[in-house]
Amino acid sequence: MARRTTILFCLMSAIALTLFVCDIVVGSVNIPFSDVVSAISGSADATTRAIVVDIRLTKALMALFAGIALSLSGLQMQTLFRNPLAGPYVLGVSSGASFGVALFLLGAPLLGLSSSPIVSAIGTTGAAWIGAAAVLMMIIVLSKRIKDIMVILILGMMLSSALGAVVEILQFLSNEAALKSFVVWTMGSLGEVTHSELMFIVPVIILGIILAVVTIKPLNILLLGESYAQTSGINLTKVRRQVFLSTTLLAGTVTAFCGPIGFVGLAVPHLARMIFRTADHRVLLPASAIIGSAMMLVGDILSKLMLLPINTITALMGIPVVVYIVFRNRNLMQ
Amino acid sequence: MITLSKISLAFDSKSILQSADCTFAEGTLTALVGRNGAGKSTLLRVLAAIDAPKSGEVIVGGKPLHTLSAEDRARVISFVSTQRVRVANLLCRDVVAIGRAPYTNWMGSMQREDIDIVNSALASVGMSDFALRPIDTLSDGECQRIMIARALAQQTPVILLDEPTAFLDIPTRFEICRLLAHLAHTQGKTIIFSTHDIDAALPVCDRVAVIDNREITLHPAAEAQSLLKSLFSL
Repeated sequence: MARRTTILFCLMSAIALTLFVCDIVVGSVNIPFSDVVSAISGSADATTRAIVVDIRLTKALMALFAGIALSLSGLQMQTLFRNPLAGPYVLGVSSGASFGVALFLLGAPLLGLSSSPIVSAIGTTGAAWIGAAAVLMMIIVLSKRIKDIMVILILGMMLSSALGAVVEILQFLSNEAALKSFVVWTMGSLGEVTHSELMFIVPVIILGIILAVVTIKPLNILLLGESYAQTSGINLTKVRRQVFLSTTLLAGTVTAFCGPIGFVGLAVPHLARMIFRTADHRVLLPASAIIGSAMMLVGDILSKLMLLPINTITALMGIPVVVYIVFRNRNLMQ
Repeated sequence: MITLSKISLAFDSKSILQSADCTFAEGTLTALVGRNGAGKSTLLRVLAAIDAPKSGEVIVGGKPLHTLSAEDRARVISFVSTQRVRVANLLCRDVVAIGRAPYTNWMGSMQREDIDIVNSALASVGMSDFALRPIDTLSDGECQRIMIARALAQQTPVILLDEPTAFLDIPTRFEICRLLAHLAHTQGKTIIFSTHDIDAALPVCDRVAVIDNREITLHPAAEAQSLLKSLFSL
């Protein structure tokens, strides 16, 4: 049993690593593998180095970390809400981010604020992050007074829908150019992230991962339900807060920089459960991280080859997984 | 031993218990009975410190429950809920191992001693052969035994069970009640379980606690049959 898990971990890591290398090799400009290696070791010409290191390596690293972040927050949400259809966006992270971006791209021009220095300093990314964090903070504050986790779930969904409606109003009122840049943002992109932004993103995501690791034991106990968790020495309010905070850091940051990327956070934890045949978060957490990064790298490679937005690729890859799992195992969680 | 001291309870705005006092002795099995909505589950949730009482306190081992940390509480009281656990890929052994949570480190790593305790808990409920079976492949009765084993692995002097015989067929109801009596008498536990199953509970339990008309009263099991008849005008 333990040996099977070890073998699977080695195999999955090897696959993820191979995909990482493929992601750096594949691109619109044809660069031979030997040149890619010399570019990374620093001996290639400036153009090749710029393409390989600044563009492709940055993007591949972003894909890797985005995959880890979305999958881990999806895993935490599915266990916390005891719902196989929960994901990183169930509490409104993506609608919060969309709302922030819509206010920035659509609302600011409407109010004639787009040239204001404060507004332009925030940028799309800042607006998205503030939007996502604001929604999650609101949920954290409200959930302090709410005992039933289902109520929090419904609250998150309703809040999402309400924000979605406001975003639609903004879209309806906006001009074509602003509308197009908003729609493009909603399609997601790993390529907009710069090297210096990555230097900010990676530590934030690592912090989110550490918080996720801290919740491993409570999440294992929460599999039995909240009354068992409370009588096993778990402080529910504290655990919820940790999970929400971790999701803000993980999914919030990825969404701010790459746009809403759907279905990775939803499908990957199921893949991890199916492949590793366990419910233990000590295995599921690293497994989801590895599978998640592999899935994002595949998505990035495909989106480069087919010149399609990443969000459409992850949706088309993730949905069959979710459908298959729902059909295969109807009593997946409860 | 677990004691209610001047406990008042309410469910929504409906008063359930008014300044009730009651002591459950160790090594005894008590059946908690009452009409639907009398407040059996509410009382058990307060005894387990899942909910707080309106006023009064629950005292275990000489200490008021609310002064203990969540982890310390989990070392004196374990709880088996009505919620059915059906998680895919979760082995029975691992469910019982969750009972060790108040004693393990932040990762939940099991020591040799913890593993022995889990194995003996499985043996006490006669489920050793099921250790490596996924919990979602078990029958309701088998599942209930695993949840009782989980409570045993928690090594608490007090075990509370909310309707442990609901969903079960008649022979299994009798088996579970006999198992609880056996555990109370051989391991010296204070076991309290709510039930509507008078027929299965009365022959094996030591006391019957009746919640009626905002009062809780404790009776020897032998007198309970006639008492229940008069109380509920059967």
